[in-house]
Amino acid sequence: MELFQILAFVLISAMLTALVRQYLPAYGLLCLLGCSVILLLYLVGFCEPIIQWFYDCSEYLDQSNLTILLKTAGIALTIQTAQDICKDAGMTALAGKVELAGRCFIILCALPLFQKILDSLVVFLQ
Amino acid sequence: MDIDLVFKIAAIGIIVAVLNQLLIRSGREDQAMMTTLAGLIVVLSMLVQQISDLFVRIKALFNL
Amino acid sequence: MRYLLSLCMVLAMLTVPCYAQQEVPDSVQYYIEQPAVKVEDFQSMEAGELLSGIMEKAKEPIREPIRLVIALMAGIFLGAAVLVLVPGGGWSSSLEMVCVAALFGTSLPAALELVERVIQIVQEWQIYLVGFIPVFSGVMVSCGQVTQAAVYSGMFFGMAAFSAQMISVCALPLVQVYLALNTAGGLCGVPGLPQACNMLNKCVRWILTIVCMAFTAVLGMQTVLAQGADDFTINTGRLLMSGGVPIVGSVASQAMGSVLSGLRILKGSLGFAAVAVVIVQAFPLFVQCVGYYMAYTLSSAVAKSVDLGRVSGILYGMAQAVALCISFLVFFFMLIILSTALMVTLGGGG
Repeated sequence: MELFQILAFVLISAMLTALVRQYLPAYGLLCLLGCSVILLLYLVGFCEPIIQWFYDCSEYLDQSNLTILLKTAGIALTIQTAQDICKDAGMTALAGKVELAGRCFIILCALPLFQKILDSLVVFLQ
Repeated sequence: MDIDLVFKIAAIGIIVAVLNQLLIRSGREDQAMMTTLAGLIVVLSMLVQQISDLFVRIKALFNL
Repeated sequence: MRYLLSLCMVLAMLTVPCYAQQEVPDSVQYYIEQPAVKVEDFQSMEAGELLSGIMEKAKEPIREPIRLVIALMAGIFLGAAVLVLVPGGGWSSSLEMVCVAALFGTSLPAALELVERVIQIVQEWQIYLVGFIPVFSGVMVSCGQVTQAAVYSGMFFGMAAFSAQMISVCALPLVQVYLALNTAGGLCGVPGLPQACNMLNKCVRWILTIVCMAFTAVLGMQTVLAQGADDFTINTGRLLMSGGVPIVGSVASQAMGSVLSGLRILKGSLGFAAVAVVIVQAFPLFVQCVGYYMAYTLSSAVAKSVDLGRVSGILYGMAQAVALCISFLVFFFMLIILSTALMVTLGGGG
């Protein structure tokens, strides 16, 4: 199973990053970034069939709500990554701003959903 | 999975650190700084390709 | 639930066709002239055939609730998976809100449409009664029972109209308000709202109880005035008095026993016309209501088990609203059948 490959990779990257960080902090950050990006690439390739299956399900059931939920999950994932890297670099202010941006985008994505709910409620109030 | 990338970055980092120390000790600090910057640019150019690849895939996957 | 299912089966056995020779409304005429089951076939039918016949008829209306339950399950599992995979503290609240909104958007239109259809069918039955009752009292007048005819058309018509008005004007819109409050409570988490929802629920059940008791009183008075102190009607009245429960289930099953004993002595083809029409109209909608109720309850339980508390609360509220609709349907159905059976009995077979 690739689980152990991933574990080995992460441990070695952690040690290298710690080593490089002492001499040049900027490079430590770059090492970290490289490790996260590669891991995420691997995971995305891994999850692609599952998410594609969810999309097919929601199309079959005529539910656009599930796709919106998936989108917000994707946004949360990417923003979380960026946030963690900022925090590791010691920039908690930046991390906070990134989180704020992420929440705004989630609300923006969910807006059609709220619109639909309001519409159905308004219809029966008349 | 591109494991070598991290090793390459770490290797460049260590080389640049060593060169940095050498140049500072021999009194050429400006050249030390330029080496650091050059190393940074090289690493970034290696990483940017991967990062853009990642974002394109996430965008395609989640329909963002 | 068992009572409701047994009620379903018993009612389906009553689809005996009939051919009325008097003037009845057009839709009724259509149903009467195109009987679902012929008398001879019905008499020679066995239990197995009957059951498979019921299953066939139930397949179409139950498709919608099944789709809904699949969609809700998918949404719940997806939400649970997403909440598990994104552990950062700040994200869980916003993601849960989106999840709640998504599942709500999936489940609300179905519930609202169901309530609309129940309102529609109650109003249709009211129109049907408006057409049917004068016909029936005319028949009784021609049989020479003038007082009973007057009593029937006067009091029963008044009672039926009052019940239908109460249900379609007061109770069913209240159910819609209940749905809305349930939504708001689930989405916003405002503290006072669950209590308000409970109060509304009790209010609607109270209305149903009052209407049941009023109907019983009218039945009793009809009986006294029409000098037809039948055992059957007294039993029915007593059973209805003990009713007024949230789902008129146990009352319905007991009352249907007396309906059957009453219908057994029915000879009037006109009485059968009323029963057959009402059953044919009610059965698909009833099956769909039961299907939706089970769908909502099941989804609510699953949501609770994956720790999506707010979603579970919303779905449970919708299940309650559908249960109220079911009890309205059953009540009105019994209203029509019992009164018709009563009058046919008193009229000596019409």
